[in-house]
Amino acid sequence: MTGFPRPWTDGRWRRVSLRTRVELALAATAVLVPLVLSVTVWTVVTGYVVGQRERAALAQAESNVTVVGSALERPEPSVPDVLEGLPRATDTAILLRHRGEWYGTSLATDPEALPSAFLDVVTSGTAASQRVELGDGPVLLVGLPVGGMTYIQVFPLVELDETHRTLSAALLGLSTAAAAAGVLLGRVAGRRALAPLTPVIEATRSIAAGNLTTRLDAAGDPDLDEVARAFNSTAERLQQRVAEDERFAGDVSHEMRTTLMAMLNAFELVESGPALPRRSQEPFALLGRELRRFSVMVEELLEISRAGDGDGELVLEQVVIGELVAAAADRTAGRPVTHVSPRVERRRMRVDKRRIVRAVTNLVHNAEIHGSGVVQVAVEPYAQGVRIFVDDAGPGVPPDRRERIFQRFATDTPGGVGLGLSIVARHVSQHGGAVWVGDRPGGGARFVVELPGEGS
Amino acid sequence: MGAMNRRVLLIDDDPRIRQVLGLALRGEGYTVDVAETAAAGLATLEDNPPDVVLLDVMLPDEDGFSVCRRIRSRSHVPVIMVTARTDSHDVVAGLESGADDYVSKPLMAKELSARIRALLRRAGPRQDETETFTVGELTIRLREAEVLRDGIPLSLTHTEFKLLAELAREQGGVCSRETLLQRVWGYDYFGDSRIVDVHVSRLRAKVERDPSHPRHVVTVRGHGYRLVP
Repeated sequence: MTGFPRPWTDGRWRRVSLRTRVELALAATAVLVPLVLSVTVWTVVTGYVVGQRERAALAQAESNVTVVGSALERPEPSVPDVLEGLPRATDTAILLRHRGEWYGTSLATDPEALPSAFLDVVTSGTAASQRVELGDGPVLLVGLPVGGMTYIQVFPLVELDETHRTLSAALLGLSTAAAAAGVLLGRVAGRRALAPLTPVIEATRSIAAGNLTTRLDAAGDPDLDEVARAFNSTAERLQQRVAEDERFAGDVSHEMRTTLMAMLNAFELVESGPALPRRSQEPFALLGRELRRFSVMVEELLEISRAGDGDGELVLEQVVIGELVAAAADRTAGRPVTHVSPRVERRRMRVDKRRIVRAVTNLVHNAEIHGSGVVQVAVEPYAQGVRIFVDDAGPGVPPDRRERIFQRFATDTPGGVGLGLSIVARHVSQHGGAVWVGDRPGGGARFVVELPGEGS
Repeated sequence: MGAMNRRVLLIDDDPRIRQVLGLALRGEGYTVDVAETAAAGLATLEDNPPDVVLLDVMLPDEDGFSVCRRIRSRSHVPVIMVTARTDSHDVVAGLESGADDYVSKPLMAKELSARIRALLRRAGPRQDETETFTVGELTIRLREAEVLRDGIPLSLTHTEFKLLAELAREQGGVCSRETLLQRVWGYDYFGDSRIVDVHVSRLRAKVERDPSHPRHVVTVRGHGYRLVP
């Protein structure tokens, strides 16, 4: 037996249903794509904003350095005044090392608080910039050497930091929303993607239930139509196979029946003739019993093969149902065994006479052979039809076998082919009725045939 | 009516069936002619006119339905069609081709001779029964087994006449299909009521002026048939 190839799955994953897997895959995609996008956007945007900010800071620092340089060339310069006069945003601070001493704007940071490595680099005469965390938050330090002095400007990055946070929050929110939408979409899409499988499942169930004529309609989708074609051709082959088997059984039974007919008729001719010698009587009776039993088997096989033989349709006619059941049951039992409730004595129903007679005959025969004899056949009202009870005196049918005995070849009893009750089930269900077996009050089995009649 | 001097023509290609039914029917006192083909059967029909014909549906040279139509075109002899199974098509086709009754295989001689006896039973008047019924323009004479319409005899088969006689006996009352099966064909509960329906339509074709709007042989839905003047 081959299963669907699923190389992407391992054992445990396999236990998860296909629909769940499709949903999960779509949901995972829906989570990952916005996440990657968000991270990319965040990186690009923040890189750009920080770069801008650094370039602006550097430009301002460089222009200030030029101003400071020319101001300090004047005689007797006041370094704090020069610094205060420089154009700057109020929240930036400037530090200047002039002749070994640190000067700063009013909000200047203590140079001691700056990273010593940064100070070393700048004081040694190299321009440098660094982002550091100071007491008030992140800052950008820009250090420029200018004619023996060291110029350091501190740009607070709190604002930038807030922009980052807002951006992150926005991206996170969007990613979450997109992921949630993706999961939802995954569920819907998973369901929709697998929706075309529903008719396939239903059709398979229908075939399994024995409706071999079930076929799938083309869905108009190339992929799905391929599935439908494969399904239909399998069903076709199965149906052909079953029909061939039934035809074969029919042909064989038909041949056997002719032979049997000759044998039975010859037997009856001898039987109705002068008495046989004593010692021949017992084997002759045995021969007759076995011939009749064999004939029942062949008839049952033929009955089964009929379904595939164009004989599946009902031939309905009006009958007095109680009389029909009584006639069939009493004839089979060879004695009066039927009680028809006075309430349905004249009830007429449209039934296929042959099939109902066959069903009753088989049930009574079953009671006679396997149920130690029929006790009573009762016909009671039910809906617009009747219920037929066939009670026997046997050991009853154990609960675990009560369904199975109505299937073909389900006999455990020697001498039975196991077709009789399956034929009953088929004929009764063709009338829209049901048959089951339970316990007879007082012991034995009770077979019940329910024929609801028209309009039910 | 005894089987003595009654002639049965058995047309069947299976030698086993011819032999065993021949044995059984001869055992009951019938004279049995056998034929294994349609052609031989039709020839025997001419040479030794039988009282009843047993005709198999499957014959090597011609199918039983058309043989039955040919028999009908030249004789009113009762025909019992032998079908391999109770296939609806076979049964209806057999009856429509003019058969009086049908039996399904396996054929048991006892059942078969019961069917033959029923078909050969005459529809004469019973004790203290009126011999003639008049229904509109129809006159049914039981003793002579004849039906006249406006004084002119109609050509009915034995079975058609029995059916009309049974309906006439009810004097306008409804006759169910079961009752007709029992009285005309001798069936108990297991007869096929399509036999009745097919014969009723054949009867209408002969006795009604407009068979598609029957005035005398009237259907009573869900119950059966009745004869009205």
